[in-house]
Formats: sequence, structure tokens, C-alpha cells
Amino acid sequence: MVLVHTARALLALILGLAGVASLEAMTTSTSESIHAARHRASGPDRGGLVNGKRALTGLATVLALWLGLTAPAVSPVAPTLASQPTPAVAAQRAIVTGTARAGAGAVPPGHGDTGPRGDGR
Amino acid sequence: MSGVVEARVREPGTEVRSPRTGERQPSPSASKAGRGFHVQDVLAAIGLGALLVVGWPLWLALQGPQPLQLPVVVAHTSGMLAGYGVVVMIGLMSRTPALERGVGADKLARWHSRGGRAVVGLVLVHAWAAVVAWADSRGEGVWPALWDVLALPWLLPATVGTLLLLVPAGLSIRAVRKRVSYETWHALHLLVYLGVALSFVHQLAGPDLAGHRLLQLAWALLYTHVFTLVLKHRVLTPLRNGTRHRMRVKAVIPEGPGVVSLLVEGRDLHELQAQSGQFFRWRFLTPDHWYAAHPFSLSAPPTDTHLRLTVKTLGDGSARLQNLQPGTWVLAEGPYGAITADLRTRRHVLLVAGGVGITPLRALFETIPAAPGQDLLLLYRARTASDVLFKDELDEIARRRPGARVHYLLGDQVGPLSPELFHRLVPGLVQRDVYLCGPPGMATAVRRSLKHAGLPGAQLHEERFDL
Repeated sequence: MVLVHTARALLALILGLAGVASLEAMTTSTSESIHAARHRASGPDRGGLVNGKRALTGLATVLALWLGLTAPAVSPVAPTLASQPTPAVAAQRAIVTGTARAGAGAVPPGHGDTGPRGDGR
Repeated sequence: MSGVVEARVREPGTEVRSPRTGERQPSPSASKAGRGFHVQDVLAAIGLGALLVVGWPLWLALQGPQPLQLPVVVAHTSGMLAGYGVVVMIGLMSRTPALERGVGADKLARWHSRGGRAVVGLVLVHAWAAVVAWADSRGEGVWPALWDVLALPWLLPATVGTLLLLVPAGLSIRAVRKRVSYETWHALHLLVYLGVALSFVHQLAGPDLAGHRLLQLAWALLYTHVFTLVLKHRVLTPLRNGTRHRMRVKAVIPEGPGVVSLLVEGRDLHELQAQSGQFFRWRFLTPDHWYAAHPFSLSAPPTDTHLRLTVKTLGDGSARLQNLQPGTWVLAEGPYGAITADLRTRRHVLLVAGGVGITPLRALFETIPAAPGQDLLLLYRARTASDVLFKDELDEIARRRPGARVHYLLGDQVGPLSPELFHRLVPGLVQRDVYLCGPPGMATAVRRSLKHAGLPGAQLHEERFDL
């Protein structure tokens, strides 16, 4: 029963979006004259398409608002693509840079001991 | 005998300009739904959008840490362009009337084919550059970086979506495409929609859009409205036409070996405003056919109650169409196509048909206006006499209409379609409107000969199709 109702609701939605008369009205119409009148009323120059178009546009806008407003404010890949090295990489780079400078005769990064370890003690 | 065209992509689309004023001629259905978008306008809009989506990440990069890292810049720009390209490709195939009538379905299909390759390339470049950028920033190898990237939020669905994009792209490679049926190719193309949906959140969460709420909204609006166009014009409008016009197959008429005419009856068909020379995309609601729409030309002038199409066996789908039962429900998208009488600008007319390309021209031959003193000549090229379609009908029309004549150019009797041949058969050739519809090779030869014969390009109205 639930499935039947669901299917009918879905069909009614599709027909409504397409600008066709409501499912309820269609299933209860038995008179040819009523049917013909409804057929005319659903004509393209009597608003059927226009209403369907508006409904679709409205749905699309609501969906876009929902998607846009719930989208992440911070990108999970931002650190990568912004090329910001992680702290570990930055530290490693600093060490490598420092080593290179030391090899070139620059003062090595100090830890408080300026002389060679192990001698003169 | 009667014949058929199954056109895979076959609609007119050549831009037509008045030989006198240079102004673009309105398409036949322009009166129904406006003139349609001009080719230049559509290209300009697409190009402007591309500039914006490339310019934004570049501007962001210039504001960020310096110096710029090449993989980072490539990842940003290619990603944004790929996301934009996907939605453009879908929009081109949305069957939006203004596009179909203004640009032409054949051009749209060619743009989609070429653009689709570019988009797939951009997606792959984006993935590669992003992984390299990650590896550089972490100081690790590419493979560990790939593993790390896939573990990021929304990256796994995006990767699956990319793979789904690759399926139809691979099937569209010419060598592969020839081995795959149209129905299979078409069905697998639908995977694109799933692939796009899977990758959409990754787009919104990308570093170029995240944190820019208005841009995220605009991006979402772009996607949802383009998908709405697809839903409206490819699903709901045919459904609506089906319920309103209640089209059903009335008769399946064998016309010859491998050829049938399908007579479709309906009500209030005048509302469709179809004209001779146009085509519909037909979807026959049987278990074998409901999932694919096939473009077939009208092979007879449309009436308020009947449409006729003629189908020749060219593939699995068209072969099965010959077994359709009367009473089968039909959904029709259209009408499309612009080689109608509305394009006419000269007093005299030449129709040039080749093989199954006779279908739309047979309808035009019957209805295109021909006042006394005006000449309406149909040149119909076929390989042999047995390949001539609609011969009885064409002869009858030629007898009935003043000024109407038909020449059958059989391949075993007539040489190549040279400029000299046209000058010999067609008096006052350069003073005519020429309507052309035929297989690609024949159409190319005719186009070249007509040009050499001095026919102004604006007077050639062509129906291109790819069998």
C-alpha cells in the first residue's frame, strides 16, 4: 500500500512538473468532454509549460541554495593546493637549509654549544 | 519503394545567412520558440565563462605564498576548467530548443565530442597535478601522496566519478566506438551523470570555492539549472508530449528489404509545428527500445493526426524497430532541424539527395512552395536502381506539381558528381537555393563541386548526418 502511494506521489510530481493535469483529476475523469476540456487547459499556451518551468526552476534554485549553503567553508585540500608545507616538512626544510649553510662556512644553528663536542672537557 | 534514414547525429546546423543582406536567416522553428542562440553568442559565452573560471584561481594564487608552484597552479586551473567544462558539455546536450535551433544539433554534437575529450584531459591533468603538489608539499613520493589524497574527504567519490567519466570517453574513441552498438554506447553515456554527481561536492569543497560562499552558491546554481534543462527537455517534455498528443504506432509498412515506414498517429499534432525537412528523436515504449531515442526524419509532410518516419536497418536498434507492433506508444522529442522551406531565398530550388538522405528531401519535394515559372529539381543519387527509395511517390509528386522534376543519378550509370555534371543537369545553378542531404562522403563531394561550380555558400542548406 505504501509502495502504491509512493508511486502515485512520484507520478503526480512528474506529471505536475511536466505541466500535465493532476493525477487525481486524471484518474477520476470519465467524461470525454471533461477530459477534452482538461486537455485544452493543459495546452502550452495556457500555462501548463510555464507552471512546470517555474516549478523546475524553483526546485533547482532551492537545491542549489541547500548545496551552496551547506558546502564546506574550509577546503580539506586547501593546505595542499595552497602549497603550504606541513610543520614537519617546514622543519625538515629548515634543517636541510641550515646544514647547507653550515657546510658553506656559516654559523651552524646554535643549541647553546658553540664549540666542538667531546674536546676540552 | 520507400526508404529511411537512421541518423545518429544528423541535424542541420550550418549557419545560414541571407545572400543579399548577410543577416542570419531565422530557423524554421524560430517562430515557435524564438530565433535561438547565435553560434557566435554561444561560443562567446562559453569562452567568457572559461576565462572567469581560469582567472579566479590564478588571482587567488597571486595573492598567496610566493613563488608560485607550477603543479599547484596547474591543479587549480585545470580543476576549475574541468568542472566548468563538464557542465558546459552537459548543457550542450540538454536539447534546449534555443540551442538546437540556433546552433544546430550537428554542431552541438561536434562541440560535445571535442569538448568532452578536452574535459577528460583536464580532469586527468588536475588529478596528476594535485597529487604532485601534495607530494611536493609533504616531501614524499607520488604513490604515498596518491594514497594520502584519496583518503581526503570527498576525494574517493570524486575519483570514482572520474573513472565513470572515463568509461564513455573510452567508448567514444573512434576505433572502439565502431565495435560498440549505439544502444550500449548511449546507455553507458548515462554514467556521466552519476560521475558528475559523485564529484560535485569535491568541486564545492575545492580550495578555490571553499570559503567563498557566493561562489559556491553560483557554482551550485550553475549545475542544478543545467541539470534542470536536461530533465526538462530530455525527460519531462517528451513525457508531456506523450500524454498530450498520445502518439502511437498506427502501422508498420514494409517498404523493401530492411526498410519500413512507421506511421504514427496522434492528436493535435499541429501544436508541434513540425515541418517537412525536420526530424524528431523517437522513443518507442517497448522493452527493447524505451531506453534510447533515435533521430529519424519525417519522410512525409506532417499532418494534424499523422507523422511518418522511415527506418532502414543500420544497427541493432533500427533492426528491431522493424518488428514494432501497431499500438506501440511513442514519445517524440522535437521537432528539430532547419532545412525547411523557411530557408529559401531564391526563386528556383535544387534538392540533392544521396541514399537514405532522401528522407527529409522527399517531404520537402512535396511541400516546398513552387509557383508557376519556378523550377524545383530533385537530384537523387543511389548506387543502383534497386536502391532508389520512394520512387513511386517522387514520380507522382513530379507529375502533380508544376515545375517539379526528378533525376535519378545511379552510380553505375553516372560518374562522379562533378561541377560539370551539375552545370549540365541544373540550369541556372548559381541562382538556386540548394538543399543537400546524403552520406558524409557524398555530401563532401557535392559540397566541393557546388563550390567549384560557383554556388554561393549561403545558398547551400545542408542536412548533415553521420550514419
